[in-house]
Amino acid sequence: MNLSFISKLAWRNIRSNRQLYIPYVVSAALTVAMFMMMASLLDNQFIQERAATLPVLFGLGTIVIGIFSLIFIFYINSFLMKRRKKELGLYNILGLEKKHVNAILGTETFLAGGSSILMGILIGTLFGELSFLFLNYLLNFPEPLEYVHNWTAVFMTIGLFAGIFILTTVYNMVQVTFANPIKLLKGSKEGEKEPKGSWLLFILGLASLFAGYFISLTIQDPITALSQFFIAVLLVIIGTYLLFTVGSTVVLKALKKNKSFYYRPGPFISVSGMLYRMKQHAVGLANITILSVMVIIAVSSTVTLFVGSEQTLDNRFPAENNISFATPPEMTGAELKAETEIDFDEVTAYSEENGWNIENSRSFQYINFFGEFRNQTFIPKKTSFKLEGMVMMIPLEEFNKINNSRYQLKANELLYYTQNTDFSDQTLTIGEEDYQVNPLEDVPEMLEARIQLVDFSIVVLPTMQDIEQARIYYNQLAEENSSEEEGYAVNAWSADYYWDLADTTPEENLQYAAEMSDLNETSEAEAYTLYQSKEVSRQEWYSLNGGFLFLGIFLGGLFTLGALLITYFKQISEGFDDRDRIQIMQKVGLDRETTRKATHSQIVWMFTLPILTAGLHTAFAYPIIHKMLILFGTTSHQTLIICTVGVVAAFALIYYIIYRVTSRVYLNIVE
Amino acid sequence: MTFMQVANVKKVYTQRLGTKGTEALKDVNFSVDKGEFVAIMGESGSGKTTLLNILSTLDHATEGEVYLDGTPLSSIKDRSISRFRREQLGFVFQDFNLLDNFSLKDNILLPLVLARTNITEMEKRLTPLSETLGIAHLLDHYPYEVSGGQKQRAAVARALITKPKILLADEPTGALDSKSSQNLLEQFEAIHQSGQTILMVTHSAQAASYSSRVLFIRDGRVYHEIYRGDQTKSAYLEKITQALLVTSNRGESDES
Repeated sequence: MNLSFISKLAWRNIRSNRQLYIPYVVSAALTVAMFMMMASLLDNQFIQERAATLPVLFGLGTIVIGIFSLIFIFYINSFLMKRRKKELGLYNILGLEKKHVNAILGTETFLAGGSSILMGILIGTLFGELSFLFLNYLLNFPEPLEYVHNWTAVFMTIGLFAGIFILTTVYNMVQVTFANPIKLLKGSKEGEKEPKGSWLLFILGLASLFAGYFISLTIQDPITALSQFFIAVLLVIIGTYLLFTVGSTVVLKALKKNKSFYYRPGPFISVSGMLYRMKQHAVGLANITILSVMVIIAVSSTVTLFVGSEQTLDNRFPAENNISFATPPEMTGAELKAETEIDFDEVTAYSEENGWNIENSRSFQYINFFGEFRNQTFIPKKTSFKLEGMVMMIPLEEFNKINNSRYQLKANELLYYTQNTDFSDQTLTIGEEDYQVNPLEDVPEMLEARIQLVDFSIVVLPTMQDIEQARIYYNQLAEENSSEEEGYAVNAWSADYYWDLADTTPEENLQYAAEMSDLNETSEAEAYTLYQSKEVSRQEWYSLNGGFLFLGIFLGGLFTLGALLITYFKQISEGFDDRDRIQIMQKVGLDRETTRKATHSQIVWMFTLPILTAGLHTAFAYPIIHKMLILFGTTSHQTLIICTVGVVAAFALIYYIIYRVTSRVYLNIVE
Repeated sequence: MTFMQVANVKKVYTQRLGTKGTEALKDVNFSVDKGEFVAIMGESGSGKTTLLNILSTLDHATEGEVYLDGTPLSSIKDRSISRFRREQLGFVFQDFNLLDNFSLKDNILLPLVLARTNITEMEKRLTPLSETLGIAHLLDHYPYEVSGGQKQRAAVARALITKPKILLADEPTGALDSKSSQNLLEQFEAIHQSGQTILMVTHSAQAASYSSRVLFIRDGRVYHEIYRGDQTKSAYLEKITQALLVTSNRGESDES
């Protein structure tokens, strides 16, 4: 048989099976478009430049979408093959050899896959461009985000999907080659068998899911959260697929065994229909669930960032104007104190001269020691990039100043704040001194933002001299060990100055900030000083978080499109599958009303199950998301909870509409 | 006692507005008594399937009326037609029309489930019926796992489980081998003897010979009928075959 005959036959097959092939190509093309849009974001300037974690997150996102594409293409392929088996069996019986059938199959996939990829890339480019235009218009940012066209994304897309389509072809060929023609002829009739080794799969799925949940629940700090997020996501995805496949079979079978439930018109039709194609059904539901979770997480976290911007600013900047002092390790606390006072006098003098009224000025100084208390003794950490444990030591006088408190300490007493709830030690050793512990219940407001970021504790010591001793002691230790590859961190004094201005507008704040930056540059202090204005940061912050919001909405839309795609494909293909069955049932007395009722009773499965599971996943993902948001500066649980709940509700509504519209498509096909 | 009355039924298929339609049924008149087993014979294209569709409410007559137990079929509203079909009629189709997603048991119970019968009642009816039809041991199998004859017996069970007023069968042996056919027809005969009214469309004289009366239909009209009476089956079969032979000869002479 020559090639032109095969390709002619393949083309004719596609045309005569267009009822099957059109949804197949449309769904595949939209999947390609989805991946393409995700991949082109990788080269987006905003993602590359605005935050170090973004390229990593979007890289992970692209991988997840890639895996999803693989599963989804296999899923729609299974529908196609099931309906085509009869035809392929007939070819076999009519005398075509298996290799010819394989050649036809290959050509068909080449045509369908090729056009899907081509269309997908076109749609992806067009849709990406349009949605960026639309979102820029809608959100009205000072700096619009640009959709980048790049060949890397195109080649990545082509490569991935060519691979996926080749895999499906190989899979189909194996099926055709190893099945006998009679079996193929019957192929579209036989029900799916229960997955093998279901107990093992069930346990595996459960283990995978719980491992994923466990990672999220026990995550200690934001930095590990970022690196483990991907593993947790993968584990939960695997768990979801396995549990849906095995679980839905088990549940459906149990429902079928319950005679008084099963032998009623609605359940009778829907339960048997779902059992008939349980694997396809389960994969479809799992797909919808995964996409739902992705929509919810992408949108709720970015909305939280945006809504929480103001609170983030308040956390980072207790006052409108801030100067931080960092010193060389040998500088003493007293020297820093003198220097900050000189510096602030300059600020005050300058401000008064130029007609700005300073109010609420306050300051404090402290040393952040890297390390933690273990066995009642402070153990310094080796230098490494990880911000793990940190102990902030503040002199009592400074602490009372910022805390508006009147704590008193005798010599060798300290106040201790820790997040470790098990802490019950009576004494702590710092340097060569032992101190009696008095627990500190509350943290001053301006330190709240810091305790969220890392394992952070606060030690308030009676005098500056106590801290000075500790500094000298541990710096000496560091010097003695400096030959080692990983020495101890060197500790040095820091100080923060905060002040507001009376009766100023945001514009005036900006102007003042510019003047202060200039003044700060001319400062002759030995300490390194950093001036920051809340208003300046506010502008940067909103443009950054606005960008996140933009990406969140874009991704949310993309994933919603994916969920729409699956639901649509599921309804159409099941509609064609069910049409004959429903018509037979109508002949023996099934009325339209009951058909509708049976369709609606699937709502419990098609609608409620994915949404509830997505809700559960989101709930368990909450700790890890909260930790990651801390990296971006948002700490408020309240905002995150409200945003998440709101997004879940909104998405449930959107999905409900999608479901209702597509189920109408289903009914139209069936009737 | 007349149980089903077919009066002046005419069916015209119009393809497009304005074109003269095809007359599938011209003027059909006959009646079926309670407990009768009537076979309707005719060649393909004679209108027998159209007639059956009208009798089974799947199609409407263009003119005329069909009465079942005194009820004119045209008076049944669309809303209750499914229910009527479910409760009063039982169907057996040539290609079985069993559902692959149901086991034989569930296939048989389907009409009862649709009628919201309770499960104990369903099983009470199922057991004797499946035993009579010889499929009791196959109830948990799926249609694609059993033979054609077994499928058709399951379809008969599905038709009978609602205790229908009349069993309508459309070429029930059409897709079966001779042994299965004979077996099925014997079942029909037994069902008939237990008092069930049966109307069967067939073009097989063999199948028709199991009935108590044969109606011959041609070109949309009933033109002949034969009663079995007290004849032996072979004599009856002989008569039917002759009648068919005569008509086909007459057909040729008509055309010439």
